[in-house]
Amino acid sequence: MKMSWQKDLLGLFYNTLVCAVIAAVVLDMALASSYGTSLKVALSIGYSIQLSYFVFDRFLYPNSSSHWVGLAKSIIGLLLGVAVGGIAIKGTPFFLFYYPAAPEVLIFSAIIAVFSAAFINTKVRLADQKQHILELEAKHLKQEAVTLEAEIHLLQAQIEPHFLFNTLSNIVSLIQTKPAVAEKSLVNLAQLLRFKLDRSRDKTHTLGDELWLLRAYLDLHSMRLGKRLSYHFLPIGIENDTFFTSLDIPPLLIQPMVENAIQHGIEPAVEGGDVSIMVSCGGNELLIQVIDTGIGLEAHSSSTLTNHSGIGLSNVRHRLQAIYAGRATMSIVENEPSGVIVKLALPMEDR
Amino acid sequence: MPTALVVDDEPNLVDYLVSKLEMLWPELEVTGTANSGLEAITLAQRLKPDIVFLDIQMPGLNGLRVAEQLPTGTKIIFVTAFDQYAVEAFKESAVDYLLKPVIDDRLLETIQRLKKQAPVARDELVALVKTLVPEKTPSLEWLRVGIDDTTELVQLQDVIYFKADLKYIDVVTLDKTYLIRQSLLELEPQLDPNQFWRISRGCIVRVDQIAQAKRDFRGRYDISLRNHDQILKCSQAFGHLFKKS
Repeated sequence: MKMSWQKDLLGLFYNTLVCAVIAAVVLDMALASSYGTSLKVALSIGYSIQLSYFVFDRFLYPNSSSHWVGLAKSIIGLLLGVAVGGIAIKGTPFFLFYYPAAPEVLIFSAIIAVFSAAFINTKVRLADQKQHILELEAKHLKQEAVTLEAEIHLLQAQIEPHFLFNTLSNIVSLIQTKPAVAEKSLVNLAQLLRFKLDRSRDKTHTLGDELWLLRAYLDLHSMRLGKRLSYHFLPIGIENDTFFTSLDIPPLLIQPMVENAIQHGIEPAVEGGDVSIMVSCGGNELLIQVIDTGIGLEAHSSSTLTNHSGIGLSNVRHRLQAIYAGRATMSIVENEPSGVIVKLALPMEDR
Repeated sequence: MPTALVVDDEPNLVDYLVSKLEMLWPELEVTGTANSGLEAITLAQRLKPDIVFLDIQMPGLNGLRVAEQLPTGTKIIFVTAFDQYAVEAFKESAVDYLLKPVIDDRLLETIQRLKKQAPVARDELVALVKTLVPEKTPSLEWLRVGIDDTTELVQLQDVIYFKADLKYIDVVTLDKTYLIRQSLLELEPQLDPNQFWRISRGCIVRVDQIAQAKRDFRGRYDISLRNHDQILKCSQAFGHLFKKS
């Protein structure tokens, strides 16, 4: 029940407003000698009822929905108000009880005061319920985001079987002829598998870790594709190496972008191409661009049997939404003269 | 002496298979190697090899398509790292195949078979390829869309719904709304009717994004979405989409 005093203050404001109106009506009916007198009585009753409600709700019967309690707090508040009103205009608590116009004034103010109190009460209660629902919703959404993130993480942990078996075949083929390359590739593959299969989500993963993983990944592809693949890492305007080791990012976030560039850009291109990973930061944003000079989108698809193009990118999009809730963006544009650029902008403050 | 062509887009794997063949079948002469489908076809037409070892996933033209265009009478051995469907189909047919990494014993079996058997009939090969690579009508996969004066690309599978807005179409995705200068009428025929449903004159929605359709008393439906807060209206004329049968 935080911000409760704000609601009480709001109630007080409504109350004052209602009382001011009642006072004017009472004056108009010539039941009081002046607006001042009339307002004094109205406010006395209005505030007393609110006070009574406050004491009942906060201390005596919190969370009670009984009508008897409701009636009791209204009557006690009303009697108190009439007494206070008497003190306010004539200095005696019983003045209003034997004042000539007493019955009309009393009944009139009583009815409206009770209504106003009830109105305030429901309003506050509705606000409480609304806040409660909002809190529940937020909790639910958060849980959903966590599950979604876990699901997507699982998806990204999947290894494309075609890549895996081709890589293994390549390593086998090199054991006799180039044992050093075979050894290095096997180590690279082991590192990649470790990242992919490690499900511990609380471990920190820095930008440096991700780039290091990408190097191993691209190295494997370059062993497979030979001259058809070249790759570059381009840190722009980042002089300090601690930048990479101090910045945490979600694991395997960039890897699907690179996988996409190779699978749908370079591999389907007879001549192959280049993949560059550009990292820069501007303001509070980390900007990562995966730029390929591959086949692009036009000529795509006749060479692959299974048509699963870009599932990886869709997953990245969903994952960004789950983790950053709209504060991170991914956009895809065409490269000149061919190929695709995928741009990722991540907020840098809190991860 | 029999001759062979070895085709794979990964150079190491070509060298490896060639060396294995030299070891296990010394009488075979590998007269050429190729790294792409087109190269393979050109070489095969020139060298007329008896046997072609053919990788399936290759840039340009995949191995299955290459097989169709090889001279009749060529014996074809498909080589693949991982193609579930293809392998299942091969098992059902007389077509032989090898899995990567190539195992010596398995390669020996293939060699024995190659020495004895006649090439697979052309008709069977063509029929097999047809089942594995159906003639695809090129379907729309990417959209060129405008946002803030730039042109970006959006994958069709990321679109939640399209909404016509005067001369433009709003392309609504999980995180952004883009514009395309096209009419819904021009766009609709390019979409797969199993994936996208027209639900009113101005709106096309991705079917798997529909969470719920609530009918009102006038026979229209309120469509709520899985990943978006917007409630879409389905007009009476398209109500049949949601009618329980």
